[in-house]
Amino acid sequence: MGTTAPLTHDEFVRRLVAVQGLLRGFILTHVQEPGRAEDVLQDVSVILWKKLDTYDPQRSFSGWALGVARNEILHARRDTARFRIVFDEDLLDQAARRYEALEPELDRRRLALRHCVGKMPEHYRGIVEQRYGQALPIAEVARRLGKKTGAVHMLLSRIRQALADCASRYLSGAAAEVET
Amino acid sequence: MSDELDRLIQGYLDDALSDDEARRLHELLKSSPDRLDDFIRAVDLHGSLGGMRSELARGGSPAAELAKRTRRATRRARQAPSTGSWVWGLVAAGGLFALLLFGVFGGDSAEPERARARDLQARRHALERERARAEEESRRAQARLKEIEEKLTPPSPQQPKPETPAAPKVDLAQLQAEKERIERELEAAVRTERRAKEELARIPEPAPEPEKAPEPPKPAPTTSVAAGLATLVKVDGEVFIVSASERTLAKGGENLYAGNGLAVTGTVSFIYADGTRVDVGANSELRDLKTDGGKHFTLVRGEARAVVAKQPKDQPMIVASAHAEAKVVGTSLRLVTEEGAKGFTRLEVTEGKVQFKKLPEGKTVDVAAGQYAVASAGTELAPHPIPPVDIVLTSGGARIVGKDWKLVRDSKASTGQVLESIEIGADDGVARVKAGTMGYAEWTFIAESGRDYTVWVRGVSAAPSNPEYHDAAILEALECKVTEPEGPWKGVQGPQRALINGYKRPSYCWLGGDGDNDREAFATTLRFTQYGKQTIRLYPREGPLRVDAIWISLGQKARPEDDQLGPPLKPRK
Repeated sequence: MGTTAPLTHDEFVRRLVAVQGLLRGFILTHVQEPGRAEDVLQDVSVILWKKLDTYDPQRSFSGWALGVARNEILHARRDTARFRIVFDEDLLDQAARRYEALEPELDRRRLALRHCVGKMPEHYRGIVEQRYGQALPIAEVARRLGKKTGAVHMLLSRIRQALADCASRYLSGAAAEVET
Repeated sequence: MSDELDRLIQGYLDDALSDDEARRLHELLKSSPDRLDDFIRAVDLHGSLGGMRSELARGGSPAAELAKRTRRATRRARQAPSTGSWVWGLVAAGGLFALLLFGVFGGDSAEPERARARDLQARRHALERERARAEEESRRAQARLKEIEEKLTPPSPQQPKPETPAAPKVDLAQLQAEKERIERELEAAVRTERRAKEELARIPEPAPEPEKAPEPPKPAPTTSVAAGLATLVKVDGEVFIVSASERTLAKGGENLYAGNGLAVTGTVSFIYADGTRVDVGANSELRDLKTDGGKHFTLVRGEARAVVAKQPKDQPMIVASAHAEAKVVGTSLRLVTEEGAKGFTRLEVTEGKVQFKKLPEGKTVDVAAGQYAVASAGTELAPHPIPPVDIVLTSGGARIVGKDWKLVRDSKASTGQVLESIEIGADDGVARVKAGTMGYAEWTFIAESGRDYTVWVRGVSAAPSNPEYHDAAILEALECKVTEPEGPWKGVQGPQRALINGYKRPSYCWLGGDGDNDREAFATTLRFTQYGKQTIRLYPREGPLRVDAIWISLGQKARPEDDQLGPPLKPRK
C-alpha cells in the first residue's frame, strides 16, 4: 500500500507518458505483433490508473509500471489464441529487470532511431511504412509487394539491422546514415 | 551478437519462428544477460517503429512531420514564410564546402589576401544564417513543447480523481513521441547555435572597407532564446521555476533567466547556449542562475550532474553549495549536497578536472577524473579515488580469529568453500560476543565515507533439523554507523553491530538483517566515518551456520535472488 499521498491525475498522466516507450518495448518482448502489443499497452494503462491508489510515490514509477505489465502479460497467457508467448515466467522477470536497467540507454536509442528513420532510403521506407506505419502483417506486405513472405522477412531483418547500426553510430557521434 | 541469435531474434520479431526455434531462443536468452540485453534492444527498436505509426503512415519522416506541425503552429506568429530546412541544409553544406576547399587549396602564402577574406566572409555569412535558423527552430520547438504540455495538463490541477476510471487512452503515445522528438530538436538547435557561435568567434571580423562608412551595429536578436541564459529541455514530474516574485510550474522549452532558481520534485535538464548541459536529480533545489562573468548556480540541496562545454579560462563555470564551490573549465561532474548540521557537499568527476573549494575556510583541491571529494564540517578536504559501487567479500578472503569459525568445502557455495560456525545457542552466543570471548571472521576493504551501503550476507543453516535455532550471526563494522532495519531486535546487539538472522531455507539465500517474521527483504546499512580501508567482523550467534559471502553495495537496495552471486556483470553507474 502507498505510504504517502497518491499522485494527482496530472502527475500520473505525466509519468505514464514518460514510461510509454519503456512499457511498449517490454510488452513487445512477449507479444511480437505491434498492433496486439498496443492493445496490451492500453490495458496496462487502464490497470495502472485503476491501481493508482496502491502506488507508493516514493518508489520508482517505471518499476511499478513494469510490474503491472508483467502481471498483465502473465494474465494474457491464458488467452493463447490471442498471442503466442515464448518465454517462461522466470525470463519474463529477468526481462523486466533488464528493461528497467537499460531504460536510459533505450531512451537515447529511441531518439537516435527517429533521426535514422528520417534518413532511411526510399526503397526501405515503402516496406517500413506498410509493416509499421499501416501495421500490416508480413503476409499482407508480401502480397502487396508481390514477394514471398520469407523475402519480406529477410528485407525487414536487414532494415532493422541497418537502423540499429545507424542509431549506434548516431549515439557514438559518428555520421549516421542508414546503409543499404 | 552471434548469427544464430540475430537470426532467431529477427524471426521472433516477425513471428516467423518454429516451436524448436522459439525454444532455442528462449534457451539462449536465459543463458546470458548480454544476449537478453541484445534481444531487448532489438525488440525496443521494433516497438519504437510501431510507436511511429502515425508518422510512418503519413509517409513523412519524423523530422519532416515536425517541421510541418511546427510551421502550422507558428504560421500566424511569423513575419515571413520560413525557408524549408533543406534549403538551410544546402546553405550550411555550401558553407562547409567553402571551408574545406579553403583548407585544401588555400591558406598558403601564395593565396591573395582578398580571396581569403572573401572565403572567410562567405563562411561568416553561412554561419550567421545557420545560427539564425537554429534560433528560429529553437523558438518554434519551445512553442510546440508548451502546446503539448498544455494538452497533457488537465484543466484544473485541484480536480479530484474522478469516480469512474478515465484512463488516458487518447494519443498519449503520439504526444509522448512528439514531445521527445521536439526535445531532441530543441537540443540539436541549441547545439547548432553553439557550434555556429564558436566557429564565428574563431573567424576574425572583416576589416572595414576604408571607402565605406562602417555599418551601424546590428541590434541583438530579440528571440526568447537569446534573452534566456538556458533552456529547459526535459521536464519530468513536478518542477518549479523560482524567481524573486513568483514560483511557476515549469514546462519543457521554457527559458531560465538570470536570478532564477529551480525547485525540483521530479527531474529536469537544462542546456546553455554553448551546449553545457545540467541534469538535476529528484528533490533538488537550485538558486541564483547567472552567466555574468561565467556560468554560476547554487545547489541548495539534492543532486546535479553537468557536462560542461569548454569554458573561457577567465570565466569558469561555478557550482556552489553551502559547503563548497566547484570551479569548472570543461568536464563532466556530479555534485550532491545535503543541508543541516551534518550537511555535506560531495563532488564526483568523471571527465577532466575540477577545482573544489571548501567554504568558508577556502581550502582548495583539484579533483580529477575518477576521483571524488567531500566538503563538510570536521572532515579533511582531499581527493580520493571513487571506490567500486559493489564489494563482494568471500569466505576465503576472511581472516579467522579464534576457533569459532572454520573454512569448510561446500560445492553449493559460490567459491566452493564457506565459513562454518560452531554449534551454539543464542544465549551463549550473545553472552560471548558481549564478553569479547567469541572468535570472528574479519574482512578489510576500501569504501567511501558518508554514503549508505547496504549489506547482504549469503548463508544457510548447517543444522540437520530446526534450522530456525541455528541461523544467526552478528555483523560488526568498525569506524562506522550501523543502522539495522526496523524490528524487535533493532539496536539490541550494541553499537556498530547488526543481527543477521533467519536462514530458515534449505539452500543458500541472502539476508540483510533480522529476516524472521517476513522481514527478510530489509537490509542493514553501513555508513563509514572515514574514506579508505574499512573493517567488518562476523561473529557466530546461533550455529552451526554457513556463510558463503558478504555483499556490500551502494546499488543493491533489494534483496538479491538466492542464486545471484554478486553484482551485474556490467558495472553500475
